[in-house]
Amino acid sequence: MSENSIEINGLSRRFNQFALQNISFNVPKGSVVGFIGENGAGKSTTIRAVLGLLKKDSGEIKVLGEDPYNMKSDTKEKIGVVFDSIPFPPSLTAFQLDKVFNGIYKSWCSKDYFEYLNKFGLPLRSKLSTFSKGMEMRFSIAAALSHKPELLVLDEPTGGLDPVMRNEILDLLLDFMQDEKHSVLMSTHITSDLEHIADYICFIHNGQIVFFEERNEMIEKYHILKCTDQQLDAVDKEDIIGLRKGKFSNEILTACSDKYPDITADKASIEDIMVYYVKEA
Amino acid sequence: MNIIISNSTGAPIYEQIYSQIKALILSEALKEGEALPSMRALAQDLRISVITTKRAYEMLEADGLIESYTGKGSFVASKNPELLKEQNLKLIEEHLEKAIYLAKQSGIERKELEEIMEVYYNE
Amino acid sequence: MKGLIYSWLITRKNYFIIGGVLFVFACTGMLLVLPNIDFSENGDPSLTLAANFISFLLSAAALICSAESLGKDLEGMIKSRFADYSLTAGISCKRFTDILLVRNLICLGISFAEGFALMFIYLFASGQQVTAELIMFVPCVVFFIHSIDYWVTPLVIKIKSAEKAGLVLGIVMGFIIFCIVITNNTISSDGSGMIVFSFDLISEIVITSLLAASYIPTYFICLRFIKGGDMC
Repeated sequence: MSENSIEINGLSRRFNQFALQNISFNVPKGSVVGFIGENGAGKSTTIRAVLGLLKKDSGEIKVLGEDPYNMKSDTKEKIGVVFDSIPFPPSLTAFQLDKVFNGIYKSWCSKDYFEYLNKFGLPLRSKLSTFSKGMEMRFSIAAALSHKPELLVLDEPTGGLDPVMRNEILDLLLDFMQDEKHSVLMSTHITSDLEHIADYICFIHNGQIVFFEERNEMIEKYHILKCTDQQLDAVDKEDIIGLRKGKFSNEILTACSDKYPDITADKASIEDIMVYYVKEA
Repeated sequence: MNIIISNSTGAPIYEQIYSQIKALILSEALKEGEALPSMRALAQDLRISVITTKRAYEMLEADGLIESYTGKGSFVASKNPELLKEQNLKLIEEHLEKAIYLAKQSGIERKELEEIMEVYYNE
Repeated sequence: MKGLIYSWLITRKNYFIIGGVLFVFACTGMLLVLPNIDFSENGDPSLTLAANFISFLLSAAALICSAESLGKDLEGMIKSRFADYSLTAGISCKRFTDILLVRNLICLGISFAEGFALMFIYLFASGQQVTAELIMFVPCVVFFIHSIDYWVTPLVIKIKSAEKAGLVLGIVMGFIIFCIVITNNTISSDGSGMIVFSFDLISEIVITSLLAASYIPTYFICLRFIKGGDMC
């Protein structure tokens, strides 16, 4: 059995206006991988490929050891999926959906489901169409957690939610991760969510992977240098990942701040790194 | 057991965890054989990556301060000579610091201090 | 498998109810009105024509209701991404295709029961003779309605809109039927006001068989489209 929950190798797919090119990264077992990128960078497309919903032009994907296009039902049940909008018939209620899920999953656990619904304060007999965005998201997560998944795949689960709600969901994910066999792949463009939960960060831009790094290493490695024009000239162009020229000062994202001990260096947040990488491109 | 980490100090988080747990062990706030929280539980509580806590625990284990067993968890290691030596060194440093302070206060020179040390060492 | 059938039943429960009501309405209507109309040669031709027409219309409405919205429900599943969700949840592409077929067959069965009931009540109430052609007419119509509904299914998967798919199919079908009717003069009036179907039994059997057989290629086209991915 592989050490990775998800393995992606050379995934490519061409669309009219956009292409995924040679996407390769892994989600190791027991880890949380944060998948970041701007809107339209290819996060959802990659995730759909990982779930076997999208035809690929080339490349190999292995999820829990199997090809997602030919996966055994039992393995599929171990994957909990949360999309950015609820993928259920809006005219049904949570109560009715329990019977639906029971007829879909062998490992459906109604007890867990109702416990989550209760914990999240979700009504059982209202139609899903009456739910707010926050309720929709909590419902999706309740449904995803109630069939004993080992892998959670979330596509922008926190968009449109207030910080309090987002925090609650992150707590849920941290709880989920207490079992070391569990893994999470979460795509988001709200990078602050990942500061506390991600073990690895995968950054995609224009359909290509820009980097895949351990979160801790990123913290130690990347810095923002705040410098004057003269100091800027002294910096090796190779060391500049992204640059913002200002009237009164300049900012550089670099992985080599030790070479310039005289220049003020701040730690770079995930958001900083993403923005500066994109600026460079 | 309390671990406080700060994002604004220069030290990497794994180092902060390592130092704090080490201090707790050396000061006997964590006793021999006592169980540490699991890496994941600690990561969840501190809201950091489990890779960070794992690294800190690995460093503690490399220093012989803790022992980790798969399936069971991590425990404060039984006293071993290294540990004892380390603990004692710490105490020695503390004592020496005090002695030197007193010496300086009363104008006692370093040479005199060294002589006293020689006498006691040869006993 | 059961889950998707259950969710479908709940979602379209109103259509079942309306269909049932129309069915009861048509039956009672015919039972009450038709015995009072003289269908023999002495009867008023325009009256018998009207009676026939209305009976036919009501029966068609009841039957079509049981076929209605299968395409719309599939469109709903695609738009809400429930179809995607089901595929990730362990329902294989083949299973999903089977479920779409089963839904159609359930409605087909209901239509058969209603259709035969309506036909017998019509014949009984109007005192007309039971012939093989008239009986065979029922499977003909039922298969006609439901096979069209099933042909729409792969179109909805591709076009992702039930209305557009229905429109495309409706235009094509209408054109074909128009050609057949015109060239064969299959429907005429024999002066007594009775609508005479000059379908013979053999034609009816052939048509019914062809329509039933059309399910097979449609199923595989459906399966192909679903396996192709990119459904939602």
